[in-house]
Amino acid sequence: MRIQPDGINLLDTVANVLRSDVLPAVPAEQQYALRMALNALGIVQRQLANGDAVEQQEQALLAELLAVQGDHAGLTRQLAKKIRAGAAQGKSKESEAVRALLWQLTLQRVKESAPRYLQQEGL
Amino acid sequence: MQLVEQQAIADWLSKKIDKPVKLNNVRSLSGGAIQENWAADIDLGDEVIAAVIRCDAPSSVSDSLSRPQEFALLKAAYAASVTVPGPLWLGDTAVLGRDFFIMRRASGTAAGHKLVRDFSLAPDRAELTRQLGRELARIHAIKPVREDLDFLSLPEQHPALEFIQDARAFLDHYHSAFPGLEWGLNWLEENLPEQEPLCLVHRDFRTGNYMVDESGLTALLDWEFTTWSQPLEDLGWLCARCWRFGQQGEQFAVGGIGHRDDLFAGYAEVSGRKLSAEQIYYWEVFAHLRWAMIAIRQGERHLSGAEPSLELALTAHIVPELELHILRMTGLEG
Repeated sequence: MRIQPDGINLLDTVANVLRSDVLPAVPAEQQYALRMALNALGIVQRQLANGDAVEQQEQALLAELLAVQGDHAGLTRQLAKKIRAGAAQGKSKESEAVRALLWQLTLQRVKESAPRYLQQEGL
Repeated sequence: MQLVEQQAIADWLSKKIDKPVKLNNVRSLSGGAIQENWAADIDLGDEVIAAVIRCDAPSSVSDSLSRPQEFALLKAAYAASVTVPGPLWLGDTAVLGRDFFIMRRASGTAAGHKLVRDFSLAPDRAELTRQLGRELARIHAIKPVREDLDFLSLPEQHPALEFIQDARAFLDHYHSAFPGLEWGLNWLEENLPEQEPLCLVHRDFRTGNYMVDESGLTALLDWEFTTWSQPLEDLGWLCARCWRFGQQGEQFAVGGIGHRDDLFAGYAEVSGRKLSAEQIYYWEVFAHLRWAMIAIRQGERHLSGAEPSLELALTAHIVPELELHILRMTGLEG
């Protein structure tokens, strides 16, 4: 077993130190770089916290909708192709399912990359 | 800038204008990844000119416009009464071993995050917004074909359609797929507005690319993406959510500083053309798609190892929120 605290805990602790202790002491010209670093740390934290579980769940949903097997990247590409061909348009049950999954996958990417958007937009 | 380079510019300019020239207070200004900008006070003996020397970065690789082309655009815009830094001299490549030109230095700041919160800058925001509309109308009054701008290629079809096709061709060969962008590109194709006559379009007219001081607008910058396109493209770009620097609400729809109605009022003042929010909606959606495609390419510059940069890396992570915003703008919400 790995020594505790683990990587997620350490990242969280590092981010707090940078935000509370370092940021206020940094000259204005370098604050932007530090804010970018904190933003990147946030993305890493959220990805680590999700682990592989979210991607596996998405992969299963993609495979079910597309009725084929494949890895997450390959299935996402097939979904993209299908959407370009118009599968998300119209009123059919199938197009509705495509739209629902498109929304879910996109929302998930935002949760990891830019959760501030969701707060700003009240989502 | 190294002293030998400063001396080389002074010697070259001195010969060109047949006057003694001294460069003083040369200092770096923030630039893009493609250019370097240097502030300099150019002493001509009888006059000191506050100037900016804009040159290619030493490792410049880009499909945007070259410095001589940008200089030609600056001259054309200046002649059309657009508020741009006065163009002074186009450099000779031999002087620095790379292209450069010299223009007047505008006062104030271009920093968007500062402008949207600091009301000592351009305090009359409605007037600033109308001013942006007037500037756009003046740019759009420049029409093809122009001998001095013959480096700008004329699109062979509807500019939006050309974008859609380029975007799809790129996505087909990219290592990651973007289902949300595919949905958005389909929407752009289905809702394609009727083509109107081509005009000069800045294509990066947004908060962050114009300078303001206490008195108001002082200069429109960054003409490197300018081309012949549809006029409303510029208005949609300026109103896109991406350039509001966190400001929320309709009163900040124009670049985080003003209301669309004031932008349209300024535009109508100069062009006589009355616009509505409905008319530019298509181009607002288009703006999010176009910015997403640029963001993917910027992220790839980091990812490929060509140009490791935290800023470029994080730009790739802007794409998801653009995708979600596009879905919401085009009627798909969970």
